[in-house]
Amino acid sequence: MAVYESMSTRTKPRSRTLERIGRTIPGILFLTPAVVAFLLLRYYPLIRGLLMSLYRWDVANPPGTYVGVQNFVLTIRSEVFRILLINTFALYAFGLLCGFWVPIVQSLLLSELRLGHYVYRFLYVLPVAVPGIASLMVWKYIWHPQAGLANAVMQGLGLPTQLWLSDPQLVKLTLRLPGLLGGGMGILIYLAAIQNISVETIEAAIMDGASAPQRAWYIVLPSILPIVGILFVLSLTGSLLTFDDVWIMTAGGPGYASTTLVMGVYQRAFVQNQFGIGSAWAVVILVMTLILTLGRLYTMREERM
Amino acid sequence: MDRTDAGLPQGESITGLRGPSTIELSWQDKTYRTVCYILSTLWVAFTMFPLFWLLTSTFKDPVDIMKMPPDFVPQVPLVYTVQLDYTGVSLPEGLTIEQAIREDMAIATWRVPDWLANIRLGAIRAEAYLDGRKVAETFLPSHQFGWYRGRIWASQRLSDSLVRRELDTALFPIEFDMDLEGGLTRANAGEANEFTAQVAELFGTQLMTTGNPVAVSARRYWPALINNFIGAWRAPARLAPGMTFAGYLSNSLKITLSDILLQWLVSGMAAYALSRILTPRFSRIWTIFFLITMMVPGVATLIPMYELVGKLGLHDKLLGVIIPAIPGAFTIYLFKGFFDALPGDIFDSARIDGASEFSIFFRLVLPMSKNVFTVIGLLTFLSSWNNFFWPYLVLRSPRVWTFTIAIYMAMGGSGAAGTQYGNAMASAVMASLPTVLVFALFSRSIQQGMVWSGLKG
Repeated sequence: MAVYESMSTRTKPRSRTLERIGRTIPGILFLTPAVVAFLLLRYYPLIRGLLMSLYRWDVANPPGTYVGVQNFVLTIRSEVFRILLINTFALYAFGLLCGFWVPIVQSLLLSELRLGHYVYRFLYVLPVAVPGIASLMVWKYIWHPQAGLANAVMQGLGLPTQLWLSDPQLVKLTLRLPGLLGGGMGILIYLAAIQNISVETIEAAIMDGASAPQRAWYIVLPSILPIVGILFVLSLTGSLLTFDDVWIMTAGGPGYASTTLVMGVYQRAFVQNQFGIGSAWAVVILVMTLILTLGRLYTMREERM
Repeated sequence: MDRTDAGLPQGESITGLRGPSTIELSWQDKTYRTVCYILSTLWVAFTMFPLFWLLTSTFKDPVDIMKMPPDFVPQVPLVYTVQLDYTGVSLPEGLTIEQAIREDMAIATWRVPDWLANIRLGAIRAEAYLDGRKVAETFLPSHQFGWYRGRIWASQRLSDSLVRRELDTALFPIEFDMDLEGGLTRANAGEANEFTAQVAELFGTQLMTTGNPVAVSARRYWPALINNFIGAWRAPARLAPGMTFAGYLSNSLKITLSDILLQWLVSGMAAYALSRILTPRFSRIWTIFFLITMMVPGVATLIPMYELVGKLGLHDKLLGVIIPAIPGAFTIYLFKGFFDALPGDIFDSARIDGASEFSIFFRLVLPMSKNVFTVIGLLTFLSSWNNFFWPYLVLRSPRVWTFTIAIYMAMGGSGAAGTQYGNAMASAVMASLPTVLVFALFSRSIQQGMVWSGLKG
């Protein structure tokens, strides 16, 4: 015991410094790969993007001519930008109309099931396991004007057939209609939230004579509302970035009817070679998402307090 | 060790539904539950429907894929047999009977599908007869002519005489058995249907053969049901000689596995340093340094990133997809949350025992963190495997395409859409098998991960 004490008192000051060093070096080593990756692949492109937006960027001979905020002025004044912004929000609105509420209802229904609960949940989520491109392709086939199932159903119901994805009026709704089928991650999130409701609350409600539909409406639904709110705001932020699915289905067509903001960036940069203007668009999108994200973080902090 | 402690959003318990199941249900509750069952069943059926439609459509003949109204159950394609008789025909000058048969077989097998592009055709067989003996036979399953059907031939670029010249090229392979002396066994030919007459009519009007057409018959040909799969498997050879669909899958797999390993290593180590090595002050600074990038959407760095990948000489290389995916703020967040919740005494005692941070990480932390490594591996797998846009931008030549690009390209081709849909859908099914398998095996971890990632900011 005495030996131990004397040793520890003797080695303590040195061991602390040693420990510092012994922990600093591995700390640096452990962090370095990630820090380098983030600096090179996140921070550098971000700053360079901001820089590009201030130039009439010359790809062959960068940076080209400095034009100040001219690219931003052009962007905000541009008719195309306005159309694409409207398209993006219209797609979001149709998404709310056709898709957003579906997993909520599905998970409320599913939460009542006991027998086969896991099977139902697995089947609801299974479509997520299939690569996005695969299900998008099926939908492209279903919407095919001549051979698609959608028009076969329309014919069967005695309704006029439609051009669906080729119809400028209809394309945005058509892109979001599959949302009605629901399923996917949303269900899992809502189910998890429903499971977090305490059994006591539910049992108390039963004792008070609340029927199952009443419990669903007055207890379950209100208690998952915060999660609904979070997903709602997340989907709003995400909607500004809509690209992949629409690109695969319509490539933005017909005309500009389903072109989104991100596609605008793509077209400016990679089709028209206007890297400066494209970067200005990207910066505008960045600022909009930042405003939405910071707004969300701010309101969430308010709620927590 | 409960994952709910790991600084993560609430609601990740994936255990069965807790509920007052012991309490006797009133009749209203029972009715409500029944309604829920009915609605859920219907809705699940709807949700699953696109998958069902994808699967059944891949077994359809290209003609049926474009049929209106569509079939719900794929029909079995037919094999058409054309019989040509050479008994007593006068051969054109300078042509032996062998050559004549060879040319006729080529015309019958390659040009009939072309002229009659609206027939559900699983395969075509041509037979040559001489003095009542069957002396030659050739057989062409439709996945071989599938892509050319109604394309090259209909444009009249290849007349009968051109077919003769093209006989030996790899483009239009003709393999056949010939035995002029003995004779071949006869196959069961089948019967006549509405289309056999059309086929017969072609001979003598559109298609000029040396032998006399005697009979055309049809019968079911079950193997043709998987023609789309065979076609899709072989289709890449048109773009990159010698390549099969496996090439695309292996490109996707290489990217996916590298992404998973790098996430584990780079993000895992960084998160461990943030959680267990650095002093709280430094840890906070660096955590913010990493996590703040979650607020920056990919589009904001798209153009410079493309430029950067070009500067690094990685355009058209798999590394051009792998390297930009290394910074993973969300995985650092998940890892850190998990490591924070590990009991601290273990680390202290390991350090007192003189273990280095590296051995603590690899010997101690890794085995304890199987859960979080699995979840992050699976999330990375799903997103990397399905990734489309960045690979599409960076990988230009078919040899390095991922399957997502390949399917997109197969869909995007205009004209002869039927053929392409068949191929694209069969490719999609093949590429879905790994994910569906992984999903079924790791259902629990994946669902866990999805709840986490769905709530990320």
